[in-house]
Amino acid sequence: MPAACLSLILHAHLPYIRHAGDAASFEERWLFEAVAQCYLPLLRVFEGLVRDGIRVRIALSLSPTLAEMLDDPLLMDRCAHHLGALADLAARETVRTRADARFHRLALAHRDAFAALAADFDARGRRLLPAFAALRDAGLLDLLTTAATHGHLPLLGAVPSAARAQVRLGASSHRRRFGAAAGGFWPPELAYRPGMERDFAAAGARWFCVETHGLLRASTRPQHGTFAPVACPNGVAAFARDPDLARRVWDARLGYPGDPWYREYHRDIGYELPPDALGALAAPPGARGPTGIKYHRVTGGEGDKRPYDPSRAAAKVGEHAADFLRRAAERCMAAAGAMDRPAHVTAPFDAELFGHWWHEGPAWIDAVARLAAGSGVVEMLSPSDYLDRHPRLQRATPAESSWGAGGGHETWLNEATAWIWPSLHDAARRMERLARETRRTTNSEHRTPNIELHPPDPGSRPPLSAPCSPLPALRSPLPALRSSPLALRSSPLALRSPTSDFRLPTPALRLPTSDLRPPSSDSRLPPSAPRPPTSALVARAVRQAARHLLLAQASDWPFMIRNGRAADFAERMVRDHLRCFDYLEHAARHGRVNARRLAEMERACPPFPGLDAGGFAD
Amino acid sequence: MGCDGGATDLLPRLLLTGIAPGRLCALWSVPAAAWRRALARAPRGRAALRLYRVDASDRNPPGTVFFIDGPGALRTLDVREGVFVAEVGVLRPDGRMDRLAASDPATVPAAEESPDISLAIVDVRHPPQEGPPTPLPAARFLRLFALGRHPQPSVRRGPARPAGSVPAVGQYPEPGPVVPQAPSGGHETDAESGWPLACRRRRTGAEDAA
Repeated sequence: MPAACLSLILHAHLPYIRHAGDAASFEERWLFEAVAQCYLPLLRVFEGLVRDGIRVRIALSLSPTLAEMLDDPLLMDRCAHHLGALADLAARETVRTRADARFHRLALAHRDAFAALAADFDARGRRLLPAFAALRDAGLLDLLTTAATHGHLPLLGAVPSAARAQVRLGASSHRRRFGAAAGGFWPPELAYRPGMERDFAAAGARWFCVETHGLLRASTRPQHGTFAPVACPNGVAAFARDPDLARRVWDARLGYPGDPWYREYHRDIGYELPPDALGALAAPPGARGPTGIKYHRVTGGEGDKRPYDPSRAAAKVGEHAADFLRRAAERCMAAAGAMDRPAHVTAPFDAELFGHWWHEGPAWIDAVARLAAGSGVVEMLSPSDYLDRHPRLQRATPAESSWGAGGGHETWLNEATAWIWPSLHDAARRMERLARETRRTTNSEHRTPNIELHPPDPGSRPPLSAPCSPLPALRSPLPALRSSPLALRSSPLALRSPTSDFRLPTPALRLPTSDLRPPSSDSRLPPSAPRPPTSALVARAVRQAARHLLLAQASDWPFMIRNGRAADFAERMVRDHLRCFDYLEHAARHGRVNARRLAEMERACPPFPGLDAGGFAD
Repeated sequence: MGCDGGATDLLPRLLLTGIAPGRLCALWSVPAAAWRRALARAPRGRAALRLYRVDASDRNPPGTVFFIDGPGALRTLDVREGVFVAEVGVLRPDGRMDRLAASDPATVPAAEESPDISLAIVDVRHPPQEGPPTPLPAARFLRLFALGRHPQPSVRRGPARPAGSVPAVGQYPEPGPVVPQAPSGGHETDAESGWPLACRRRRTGAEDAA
């Protein structure tokens, strides 16, 4: 029997960003970078583990918004184009760096790596989700889910139906996409408030993650600290993050990614070469962004960065993997004397850390898995496996907590983001009322409730290059969801460290205006256009309103605003989605839905095709 | 479909939420017109946020007053562990408040390990059926707080008034010519200052005479 049980839990998430115009927006690159640097490399690592018969289990949360984007043909075509441009740029770099052998060698490696990635992506049919499902079927991955759009559940919970809908729709999206319920639930930002476990249970989850202090300050003192999960009174288990293992990866000073031999994230030719030299990967005028082509290593705190040495970095990967497992084993063995079962440690991380921010991260996971499988001391298993073996747990309800700065919710509710929450709460109340009214109306018409809310015909997905924007037909001067010259220095992929603590000046509290109102009649439709039944139109409008509300609720926006990274873009996303919601809610309430405008909005913002807006009504 | 209700974003709102161990966040949004009307009704009053702890053993938990500046803002409050509710409105010199919005109960996240070390086991394969949620310790208080849209709670100790006798916001007679002496922010710990009398000990002679 192993001395230690280790659950590595990866949380893959990006906010839903989809520009409906002809070209990709700058912000969509966050997804493309993650595909190139994180998701594809991780898939290759996982597939290698299966191929080599390495017996480990890894828990992976794929957020519904990320899954929607990975399954969106428009975005995946753009991603393929991005990978192609990256391979081209890397090939050009081999010419530019010919004079310096140190960098030329790295440029050759970049060229080969990006060409292989582009080919791999195409070979998979530009679809990654089936590969994750196959890894689940092969027994390597335990897939879990999270809230529909990564809403911060405790803060959304001021309107209980809003938080419940996030959980419920997240779970149903996972079931629809992967054909089975997720065993676990990842509370976005590990933000938990007592009582949320009821929603998790209703969504079919057996366990969830909490931050360390959430368990240590539980309603009843946890008998085994963080070395065993506890069970909430309703039987849903809570696994707490192990603080020491978390520090080994996250901590800016102690963490492995800061090793001087690892590749430096911030030295990227995207910041250093003139835009002309970057070709299709040049950022919009006035902005700079990373490309993924980097030649330097971390080196040290100050001074010049030295050229990256892949062989030395690979050696460090092995050292750090062994160190991680040794620490896990030592911690568990120290706790074992007081336990009646193997001690368990939980190591949850953002998946995007591995590969994007920490270039060697996927290789580190590979080494950890292989070392653990051969160690006989540390067993890598998923929380679901642990519960199958040890179903009798201490009863305790974790305390309110998150993994944000200070352990609470201030990262998402503060002076800079205060304006968001009343707007979201008001919109959620109106959505709840609208969903109830829709249900009542459809019932009174002797129709099956939510009859319009079944998954649509796959053929109804938007065309691959639909030239649409969220509100293209509106005469109102709404800012479209297109790129702006943002002076980005990095993407949110690298910014979701739970330890960042940066304050912005306090703006005045302000609420988005609800200045959009639908026209009094459907005057824009040509007279000959077939008009769908009003109730069907209204149901579609309600569903589209729900989409925009859900997307406005993403925790990413207040996080980005709080940290001053792409803050104006995040603010615009909240306002635009709420404006779309306002328009649709008003139109649906008054039964005056403009069919053409609604269709344009559906094409521009099509996630969650099977969305059941009735989920807001309860 | 008929859905005739007005937009809820026109209603005053007060969100109270625990955001960190020992910290509460109050976030309020009152329509400008309602704000102006409330101030006009009580020209000697001051806009205030009043906070009550409702999980203490007191039947009338002490209140704390924080003066505020505008109809919409965020205020972070350092408090100890507990369950709190709050109201925002215009505090009159006699200690009564024209309430504009009231919050739901909010729990401050725990700051240290629970003293409870009792060990109960749950088998996650066969979890027990959950009963109805346990009422909050000060459920009676909360019921009073929830009467009507923005009820003004009774200001005197003793049996609660019937719901119908609860006066509406703004129906109180104007107080006499007294100097406002509402307390500054901070917990009132004096046992005499029971809910909802945050200013009870500072009431003026004019109100006593009334």
